[in-house]
Amino acid sequence: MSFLASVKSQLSAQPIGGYQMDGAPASEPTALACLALASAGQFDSAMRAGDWLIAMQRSDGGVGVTPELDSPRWPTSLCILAWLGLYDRTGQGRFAEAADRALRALLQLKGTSSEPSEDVSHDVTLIGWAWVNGTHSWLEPTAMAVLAMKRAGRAHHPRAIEAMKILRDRQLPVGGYNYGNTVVLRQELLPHLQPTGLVLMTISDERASSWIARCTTWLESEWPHAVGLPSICYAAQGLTASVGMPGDCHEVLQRNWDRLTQGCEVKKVSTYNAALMLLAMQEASDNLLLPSAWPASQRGQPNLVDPARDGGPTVSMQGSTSIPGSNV
Amino acid sequence: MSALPPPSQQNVMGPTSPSSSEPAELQMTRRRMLAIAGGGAVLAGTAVAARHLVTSRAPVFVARNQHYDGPLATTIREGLQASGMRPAMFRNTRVLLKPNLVEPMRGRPQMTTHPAVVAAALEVFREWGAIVGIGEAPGHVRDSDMALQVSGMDQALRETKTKFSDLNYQEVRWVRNQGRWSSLKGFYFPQSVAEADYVVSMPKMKTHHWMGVTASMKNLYGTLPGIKYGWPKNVLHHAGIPQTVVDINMSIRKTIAIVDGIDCMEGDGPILGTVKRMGLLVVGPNVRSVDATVSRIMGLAPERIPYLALAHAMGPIEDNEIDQVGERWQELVNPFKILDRPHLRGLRATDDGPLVT
Repeated sequence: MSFLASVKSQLSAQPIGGYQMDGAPASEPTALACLALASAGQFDSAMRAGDWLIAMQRSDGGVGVTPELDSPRWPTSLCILAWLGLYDRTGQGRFAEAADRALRALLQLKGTSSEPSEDVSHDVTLIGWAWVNGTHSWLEPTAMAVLAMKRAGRAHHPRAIEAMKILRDRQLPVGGYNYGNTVVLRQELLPHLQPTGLVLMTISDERASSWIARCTTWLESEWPHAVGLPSICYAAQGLTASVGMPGDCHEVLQRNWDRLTQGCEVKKVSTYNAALMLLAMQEASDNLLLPSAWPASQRGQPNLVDPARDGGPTVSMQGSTSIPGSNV
Repeated sequence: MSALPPPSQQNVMGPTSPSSSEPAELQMTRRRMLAIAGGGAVLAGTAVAARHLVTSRAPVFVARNQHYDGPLATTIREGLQASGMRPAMFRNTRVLLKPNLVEPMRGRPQMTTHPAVVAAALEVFREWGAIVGIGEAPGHVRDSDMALQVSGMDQALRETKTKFSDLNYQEVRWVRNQGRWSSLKGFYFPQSVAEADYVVSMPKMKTHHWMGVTASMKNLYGTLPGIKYGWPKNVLHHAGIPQTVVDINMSIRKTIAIVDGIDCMEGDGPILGTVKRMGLLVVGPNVRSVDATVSRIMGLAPERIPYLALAHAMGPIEDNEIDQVGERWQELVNPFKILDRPHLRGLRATDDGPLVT
């Protein structure tokens, strides 16, 4: 059995799971598993994950991090992506309905702004999404929400447009990203692979060539040194979305699988890790977490042009599609 | 500074008292306290009173000339015993070692606790009959696998056959806020923290660009899960950094400090600072007192460090109330550079302490 097939097989057998091998199920790993399995054509397993997420959905449409913690609700974005991916591939209306409710909840979630300070260089007046509702807008929840908004045909929603400004504003001078601080007390902070990969996935359908190029260049320069399975998987997906899958991607992933399962009687990894691996091994046209795999009407939303070329962001009013039944 | 708690704390009660910080020679088990108090009905008040009673003095052990390839286990064993802790205290207890892996980065080992120090502590506690684990919730990165590899901790885990508890993603248990300095009613601690009999804070000795110093108390921010508090743990920032540092420390059952002061960080800590070689290990049963001594060695005034000033219910920071064992801190003072910023300048013990822009 090939490495890809064995990852697919493991994840198909445990589509509902957590961050650790022996950990309780959680929303993020299960949403990623749903996306990975649907991307890989494993629809029965993907729907099991999708239905578990529906059971996790609260009355307001949001999804908490675990069954025991119904807040914070940051996994809501990933659930929208998972449900719409499933709807796309299976046509099952319940997933579109769940996504519609989740989109309403997502729009109720927001980060806070604060007074500008000379100590912090990023634009603290912009509002995106926070890890915990009512705290500052941070990079990764904002990027996940932008992906979900785009996927739901809401790239032109004012919240999505403002969030895109955050993604641009938080880029470090070297081209990469971290959790969302850039320069603090006049010191430039350090970039990391995982948030950089996520942003590149999110902006890969934009017409902002210099922005994407700087991000891609940094990721490409770091790829040979990449360690940590989630970091590798996000970096790989960012590069896949931008310039194509790194040539040694499968080999690097297999090496990490071997490392993580070394000495284990059962050669398995957590649902979280298996889902990330399976996603990272998908081509850009198959990976449902990437705009390139979405219907044409939901990608290539040119809501930001390249400021380097055109002098600043502007809004394009090109059409978008909507979730069936959505009034948001 | 008064050792009395503010009035609001007089009513603190909860499942975790007595807390953390009593000097080892006076440490009481919960059962003994019950017996002394004459029954559970008065447990809460007695626990609080006892905490303040027993924290009127605290020992802090300092060792110099330490190296990562030296006999660190011997030093840690001696340090724990010299500061009043006995092997029997740890037999069949659950001990969680909590290093600082906030944002590991290639080429910046001064940012994170050295794995050799963690492995040495693990050896000592295991030898004393404890069930020892290592856990951390990196505050700036979601990828703990990366954090372990870049920091070198993964190798220590493999060599010592120890399982890592990824505190960012573990199942949680709610614990009432025992400090009440912030508005947070309680904390969602990961199981490994909630169930530990002792949480051993194992920070790197570093400057901190907001708080001045980060050592064993601030390190315990990393006991809270990112999945609930975010990356960074911005919920805590909103509730007040000094206040939540104290609250978290007071809400963990028992804490001990073992500070990696061998290769330290000065300047723009806790992430971007430069290496400062000190060759120290600092050990003690009272995290506040240990951090006070660390601050003095760094050339900073502990009573001006916001969370140390606030934590007066946790133990002494006054020099004449700390029993220094091992090396005398006065002979080790080697001021750390701090950023030349208004909120940091005033933290220096002397006005001519080094600044860096």
